[in-house]
Amino acid sequence: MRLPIAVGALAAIAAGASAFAQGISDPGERAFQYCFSCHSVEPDQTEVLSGPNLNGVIGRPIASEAGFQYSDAMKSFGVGKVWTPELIGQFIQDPKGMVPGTAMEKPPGPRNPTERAALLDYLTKPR
Amino acid sequence: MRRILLAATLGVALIALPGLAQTPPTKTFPLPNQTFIHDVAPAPGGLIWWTAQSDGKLGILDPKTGANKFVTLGPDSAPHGVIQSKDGKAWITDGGQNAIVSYDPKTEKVTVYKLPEETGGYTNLNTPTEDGDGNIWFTGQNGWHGKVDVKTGKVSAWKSPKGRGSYGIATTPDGNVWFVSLANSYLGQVDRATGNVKVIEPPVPNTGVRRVWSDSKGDLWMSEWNGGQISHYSPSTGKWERIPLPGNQRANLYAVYVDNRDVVWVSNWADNKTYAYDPKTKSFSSVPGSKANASIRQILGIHGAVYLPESGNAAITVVNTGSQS
Repeated sequence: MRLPIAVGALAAIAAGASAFAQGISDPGERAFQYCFSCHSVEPDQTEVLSGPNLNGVIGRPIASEAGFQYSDAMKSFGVGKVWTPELIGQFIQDPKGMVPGTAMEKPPGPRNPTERAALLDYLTKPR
Repeated sequence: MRRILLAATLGVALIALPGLAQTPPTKTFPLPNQTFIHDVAPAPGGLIWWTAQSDGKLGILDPKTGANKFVTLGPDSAPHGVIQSKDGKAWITDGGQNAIVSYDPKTEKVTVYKLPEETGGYTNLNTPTEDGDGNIWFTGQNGWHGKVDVKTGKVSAWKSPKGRGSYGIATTPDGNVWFVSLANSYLGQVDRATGNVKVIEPPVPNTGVRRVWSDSKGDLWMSEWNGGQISHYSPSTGKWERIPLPGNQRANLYAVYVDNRDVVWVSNWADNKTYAYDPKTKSFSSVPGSKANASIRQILGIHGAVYLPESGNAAITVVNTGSQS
């Protein structure tokens, strides 16, 4: 069955346009746009995303989300470790330098310490 | 005999796999470390363009010598996809600049086409394609698709249906444009006049269709990241087909490409192999990564050769398909 033509803008509004960078006032959520296509911070995420859910990631054992297929490199790196703000901050600046073999690409941002701090604060917030 | 000669030329062995066609000959070109190759495209003169995502540059590999040159794309550049347009230019989706960037090898001029401000500054630009009118269409994984009008330089962008996920994009022989949503698992048919998208839902939900390519008849072939199978959709009949890899193994298919013989290539991250599926014979052959964790994120090629960018190994493997015409 062919579905009727969906006007992109209307479809996006129906899906929650707040997810887009446009008009986002929270600097942490804005910085999270560098992560947004592959990660969610929503506990009830249902989309197929390339990266693990980041809800409650701070303090969580590394490579521990049930059902997510982590790379062998991340599983080996994570043995006995939890994600701290410092570790996440290092990881997003140089994923392959910190965990050679990780599937994660280096995002083009956050681009400065202020953006990075805002992102880490955003990831720390309970949802 | 020809295959043996090709193999000798490239210095590789042919391996026959039980139940599968022969593995074609390959040659691997190492690239500078830390450049993080993402995508490749054929360039004029037998060269190969590739995006050096971490360096913000376009790499140009000469397969005759193995040497690379680099083109700087701009401040904060982080290129993802690259294609060659019919007039011989490179078109690059540059997430770092939130722009489409063109490079003309004749003049060595780099032109930056910024996305409109209403895109919010970062759309995570993914992949470009050239439509039948010579305009460049693109996806942004944060949930955008858009177009560069190459005559006026105007860039238009639209929010994709269902939000984030807009990923692979391809042009069918009739000049029309299709893309897939990884996060929301649909095939989108773009109305080139309006930018509107008709959503075509696959029969199985949440397969995570990641990339898409057209064959010579205009059928669409898709790689399922979550479902692990090849998806095939025929616009002329509206029928879907899913093809599992041999052995029903666990698979995460990232890239897909259909070569000039209508053979479908997919990269499987789960077993570090790239598979070639021939729909005429329903048979597979495979090419292993040159090392572990090749992490091939895109595939392109020319008549007689398929290019495999190994993002995990800082290398490009060229598969000689022996189908030069």
